[in-house]
Amino acid sequence: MNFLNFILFILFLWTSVLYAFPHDNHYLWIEFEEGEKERDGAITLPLQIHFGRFTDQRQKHWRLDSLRAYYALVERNVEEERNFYELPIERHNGILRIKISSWKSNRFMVFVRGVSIHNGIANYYCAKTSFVLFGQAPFEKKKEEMTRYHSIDRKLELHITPEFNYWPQTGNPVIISAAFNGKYLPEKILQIYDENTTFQKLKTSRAGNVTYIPPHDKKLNRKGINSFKHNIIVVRESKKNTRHVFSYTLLLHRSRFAQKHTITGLVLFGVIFVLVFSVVLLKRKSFAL
Amino acid sequence: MKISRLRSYVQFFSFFILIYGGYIGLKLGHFLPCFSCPYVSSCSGHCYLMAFQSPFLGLELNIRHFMSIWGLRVLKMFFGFLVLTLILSKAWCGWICPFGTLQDWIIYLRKKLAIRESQFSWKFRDSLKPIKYILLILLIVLPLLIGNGFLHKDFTLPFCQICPAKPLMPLFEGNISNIAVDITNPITMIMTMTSVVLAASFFVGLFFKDRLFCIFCPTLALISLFQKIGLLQLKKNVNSCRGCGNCQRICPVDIRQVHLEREKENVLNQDCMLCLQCIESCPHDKTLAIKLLHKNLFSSSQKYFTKHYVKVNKGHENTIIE
Repeated sequence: MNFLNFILFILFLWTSVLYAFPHDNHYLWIEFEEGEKERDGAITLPLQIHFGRFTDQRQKHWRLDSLRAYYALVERNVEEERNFYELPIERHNGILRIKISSWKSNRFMVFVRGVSIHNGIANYYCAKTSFVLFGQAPFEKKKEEMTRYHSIDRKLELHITPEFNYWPQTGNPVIISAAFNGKYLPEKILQIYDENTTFQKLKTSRAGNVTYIPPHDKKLNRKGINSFKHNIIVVRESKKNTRHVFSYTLLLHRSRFAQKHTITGLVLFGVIFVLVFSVVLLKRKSFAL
Repeated sequence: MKISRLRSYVQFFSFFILIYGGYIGLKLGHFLPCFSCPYVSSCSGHCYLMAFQSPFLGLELNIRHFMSIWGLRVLKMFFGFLVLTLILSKAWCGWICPFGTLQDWIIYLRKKLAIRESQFSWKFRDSLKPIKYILLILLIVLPLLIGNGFLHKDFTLPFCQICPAKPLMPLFEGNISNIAVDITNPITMIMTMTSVVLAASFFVGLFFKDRLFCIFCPTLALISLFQKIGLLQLKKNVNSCRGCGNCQRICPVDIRQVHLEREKENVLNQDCMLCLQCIESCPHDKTLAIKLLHKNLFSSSQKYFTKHYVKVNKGHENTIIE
């Protein structure tokens, strides 16, 4: 009986903590789906929006105030201020989605923002990702006018270098930096959640950045060459009555080169060469012309 | 100039343009009817077989995408290949193909070492002929199966994965990374091991048998489907042929139909690579000829034969020198 009471007490304590700090460890994040080839040659990429915890606690019925999604086109070698366009958020079978379509090769940056206010503390959630779409349509389809913004408010942000990798893969290092109001955050803890491998914590250097090498993944290796997984990088910053939580979704393919064993290949080549050569020697009666 | 020497120069030039042309920014497209291997990073134009099987330009497409712009892209690539094939027909194999050139260089080395070529019996030779067509059919079927979810995605570009040109051609830019075993998963391991085994076997085989790989080449099979409507044609005047058999003896791909043909004028065989050695070695005037739109480009002549193939020995019988 005492043991049962103890269990009930723990459960009570746990629910009280959850009630007191409802979204303390939660964050907003973006997940990729397979891109779809359109009949006109454009590529449409659906992105899912989630809230909760990536690995163990995806919230099914969640609500954030002012949930908005935006995208920006990132031109090559153009540093000037970007234009942001608001994207409609669709709900289907309880999953929130946004869709981005590209008629030619384009580089995109996507942001999703939401707010929750609890016990006088405002929690600002923001999720970001960036990717390249290789559309092949001969011309751009006419589309609805979208609301354009010269900037969107995001105090806390993660920057990834290189940001637009054609084929991001495990084993390739990326440099992550965190900034608040444009100032880099030194010695800041970043949490990295992976679909298949272990959770990692990284600390930015005094310069405000850290190099992250996504580990190779046997589960991903077993899937096809185009398969991918997500790494969610999360950073948090608290100021007075506000909390900022920012996540960046890093899409990763399996490494194309890490599992290639050249020495084994060369040895195999040599063995077969000698073997075939010996067979030819044995079969031939003479070599003279 | 001797035609075979001219061919060597053209092959040498084509080899360097196709293998190293990328360094000077040359881009000749993705539909070349020859083994200009895309795994060579400095390659200036790509072998059509890669585009043919690929998910972006070729048949690895979901069936519902064929009637869309994606299907049109497959057609566009094929049209590019077809135009080039119609213009030069089998001359792509004998005069331009870098992998063919590599084979000819290996043959040259063997001849310099005075080593005899291995001979296949006609029966065995004929039994190998359908292999390239079987490979061609697989090249159509496998990408369709992958594109429609019936085969694992790691089989993508099935022929390129096992093609001997993939490990061998990048060696010319100092890249040995394709002679490797990829242990990512069982499929990649089997495919890369097959590739290395085939490359090593062919490397030996090419030394002992002239143009061994061409017997199995699916590009040659694809070109031969359109050889009848090609602008280049190999013609034979059956009335003036005395049946000496020089054309058969000198042929690097063991074609005997040119020698045996007694009725048809068109003797361009499915295995022919238009190296023109048969015309060079024919001692009879205008018996064999290569024609472009019915216009004679080069034809056999006794004068040419005597000049290049016969050594005149004073007071003795003349000897054939090649």
